[in-house]
Amino acid sequence: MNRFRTHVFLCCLCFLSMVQLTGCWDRMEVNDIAIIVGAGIDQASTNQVKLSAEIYIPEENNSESQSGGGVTTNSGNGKTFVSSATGSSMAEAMYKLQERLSRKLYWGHNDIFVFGQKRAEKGIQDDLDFILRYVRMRERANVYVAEGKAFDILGIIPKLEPNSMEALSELSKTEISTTVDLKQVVQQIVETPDESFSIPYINRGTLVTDKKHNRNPNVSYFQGVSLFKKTKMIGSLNTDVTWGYFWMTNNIKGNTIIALDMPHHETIAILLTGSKTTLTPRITADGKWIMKVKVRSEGNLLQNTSAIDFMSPKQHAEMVKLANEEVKFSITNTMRILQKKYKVDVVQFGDEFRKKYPKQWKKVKPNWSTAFQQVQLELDVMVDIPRPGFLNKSIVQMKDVSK
Amino acid sequence: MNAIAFDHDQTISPHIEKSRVQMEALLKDCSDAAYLECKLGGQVKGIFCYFNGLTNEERLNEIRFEMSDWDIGNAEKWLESVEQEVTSFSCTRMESFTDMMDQMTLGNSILLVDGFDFGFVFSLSDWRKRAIEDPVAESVIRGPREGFTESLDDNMAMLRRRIRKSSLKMKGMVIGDFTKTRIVIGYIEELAAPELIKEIEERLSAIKVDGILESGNIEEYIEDEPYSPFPQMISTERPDTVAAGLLEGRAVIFTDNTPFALVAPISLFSLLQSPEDYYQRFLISTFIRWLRYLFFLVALLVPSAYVALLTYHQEMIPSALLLSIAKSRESIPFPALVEAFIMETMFEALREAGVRLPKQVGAAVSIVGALVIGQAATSAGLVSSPMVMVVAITGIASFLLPHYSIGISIRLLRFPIMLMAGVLGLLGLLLGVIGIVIHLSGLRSFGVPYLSPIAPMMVGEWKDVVMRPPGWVSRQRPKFTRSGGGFRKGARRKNIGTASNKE
Repeated sequence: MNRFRTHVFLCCLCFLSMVQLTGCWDRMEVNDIAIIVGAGIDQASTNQVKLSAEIYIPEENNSESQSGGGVTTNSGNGKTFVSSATGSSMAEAMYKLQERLSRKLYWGHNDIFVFGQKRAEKGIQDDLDFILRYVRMRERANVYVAEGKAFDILGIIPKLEPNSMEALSELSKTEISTTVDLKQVVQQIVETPDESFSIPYINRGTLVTDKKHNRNPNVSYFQGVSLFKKTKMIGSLNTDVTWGYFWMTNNIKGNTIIALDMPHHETIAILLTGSKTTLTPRITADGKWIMKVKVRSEGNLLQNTSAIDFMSPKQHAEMVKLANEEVKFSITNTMRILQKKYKVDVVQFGDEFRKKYPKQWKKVKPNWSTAFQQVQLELDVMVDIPRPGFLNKSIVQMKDVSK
Repeated sequence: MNAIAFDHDQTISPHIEKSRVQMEALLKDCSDAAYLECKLGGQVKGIFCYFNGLTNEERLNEIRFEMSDWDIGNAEKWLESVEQEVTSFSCTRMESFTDMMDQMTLGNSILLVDGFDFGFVFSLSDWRKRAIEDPVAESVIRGPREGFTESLDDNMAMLRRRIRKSSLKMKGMVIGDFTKTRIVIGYIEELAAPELIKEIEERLSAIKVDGILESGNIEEYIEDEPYSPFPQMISTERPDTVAAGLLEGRAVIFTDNTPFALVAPISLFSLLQSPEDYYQRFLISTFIRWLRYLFFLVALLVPSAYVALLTYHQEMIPSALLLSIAKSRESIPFPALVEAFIMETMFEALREAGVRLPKQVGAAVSIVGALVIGQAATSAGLVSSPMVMVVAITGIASFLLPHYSIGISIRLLRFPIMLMAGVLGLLGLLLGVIGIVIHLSGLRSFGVPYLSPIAPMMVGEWKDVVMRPPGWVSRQRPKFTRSGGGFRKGARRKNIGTASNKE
């Protein structure tokens, strides 16, 4: 009986003490947090940084039906608003941003950081330190550079996605774009001698043209990649040049369409199903640094308005050759721009050489950016086109057969 | 007068009139006692005594008429001849009133005859019994459809029909000063460890109590750790479950007047097994077993995990899900912990009401229940819809466990873990789990570790835990059996395909 009493007493004591503890310091209800779904970092004035945060407004769906004819500011199912604050550093800006909000800023789910172009040109090292150090931030968040202001990118209300975070990270997943997260950026800063890396470059649709989206031109666009050297943005590649950059960095995804450059306004288009690029560095006996770029890809014929007959082996070989030339041109063009114009190795050639020739690499490392300009390309491109699609011959050719 | 009435030990008088007075004094105010006079061979006076409703009166009358037709011959030898004639029926002699009372309460009939200082007991017990029906609490799709009834003899017969060997032993004993409940320990002599049977007998005979009404009363007295929330014996109303237990070297304890028999010793994993596992194809049973393990954890942990994630670890929720949770939680005035407590308590209340209420009212409860745990609760702004979802999943999960007793202990343990998760987050949840594991590791059921064969590790027996092995694979018996884990004879599968082809 005595034992039973002690048992009961101890149990009660345990549970009572627990109830006393419920005011735990880090208890945070979902109702008390302002969930950030996108952050933008802009240069405000000379030494000021402007931090903008897109914050999710948790509002129940049934309230929408009540507000019948009222003005609804939201689009889709997600309502967000953008708030921003300026400070001498990111930390101060965040502190000021917090002052304006009744709820605690919650960075745990923020998956995108957009840098304004001016800020990027000034250098993002200080901001990276803050983002990576603060425990609530995500290391795997995607990074972008915006043409113009990041604030404006966040201000876009996406039509297809609930918020900017979804819109941008989904945009990154498409075949025309690429994903770069903070972890990759840091890796490249640490590993490359020039602290060179590339970040997707986006802009607001309105800046491109008003005609692309008839009613709502206000969408963020992928516009190539921006190039960084010593954590400062030095320029950007447009989408065409970026394509060559993707070929070299093995970033070509399935569903990419190659449109061949043909005379007489004819079209041959190939829909890629897969591609693989391998880089093999080589240093010749006379000290030439050569990078062999081997591309193996496969695709289906998507459109063919030319006279080339897919079914004829000879002409098919010609078609393949044309495709290869297209890819080769794209690669050499990009390489020329990287080597001559920007003098920056964002294609990780340095890393390849380091792995294979560590001794030679050590010597060259301090002035890699000059050495990079001398690297020669050796291209081995093979774009296979095994399937013609539903039509074996072009419609014009079929007409000839029936005669 | 009273002194006579309760003096059970007084000897039976050879004078029938005197012993009738004694009898009537003993059964004073027992309106269900009946007396039936008869004349043996038309001369000797006799009285049948029995309780109404417990004895087969038809048969009793037949015997009575047959007795009056006897030819008991001359007067000198009638004593011997009466005794001879009477014992030709299946009956036994009883020397004292105490013994006779015991027999009468069992439904047998007593015959007192003039000139004898003892009584005859006729085994005529026959009372209204429930027919053998489907076991309600443990139903199966495939498997025997009969369940135990309240009659101990029927139950034993059902078991005997399944194990037709003399080594199936049924040791009887009586517990309870007033109820005198018959208890039977059943086991297979070759399989059950003798120490186990001895231990069970010792624990049972140590029970000193006024009455035993159900096997649960016994369970309380003989289990190893009465403070544990976990059942240390399986209570089952299925004869095939009991037979399977006996074949694994376990023992069964039958209690009269209840359909629930106790099987011991057990481990946690036997509580997570259903007899049907062994009747369905082993692949399917293995899958269902895994499903059960999964939902065992779900029933225990999901509400606490939800509370922990929502109060401390929002990072761990997928972004899109967090946004929709935030949306639905926006108008909820309570913290997640309180919300979880409200809903879980509500669910338990509904469940209890559904079990307890008469069937006519049951429909009303289910309608109200659907409203309470459902749309109405969310639109009233009391709870968020994800919480409703969590409670529903947990409820279903706890019903997935094949034995009610383990399901209810899991439901109970959910609450302290929920509290810990609300206080310390996932850390608290894990502390709770660790606490439970520590408790389970120390727990024993009649000396057999509760977590065996996982802890202590007996890899050979894991087959029956991680999967449901086919019969021809599980050749080893559990370690606690008499042989200490010997092999089953002939548990091999003939190579059917090739053998028949060779012919």
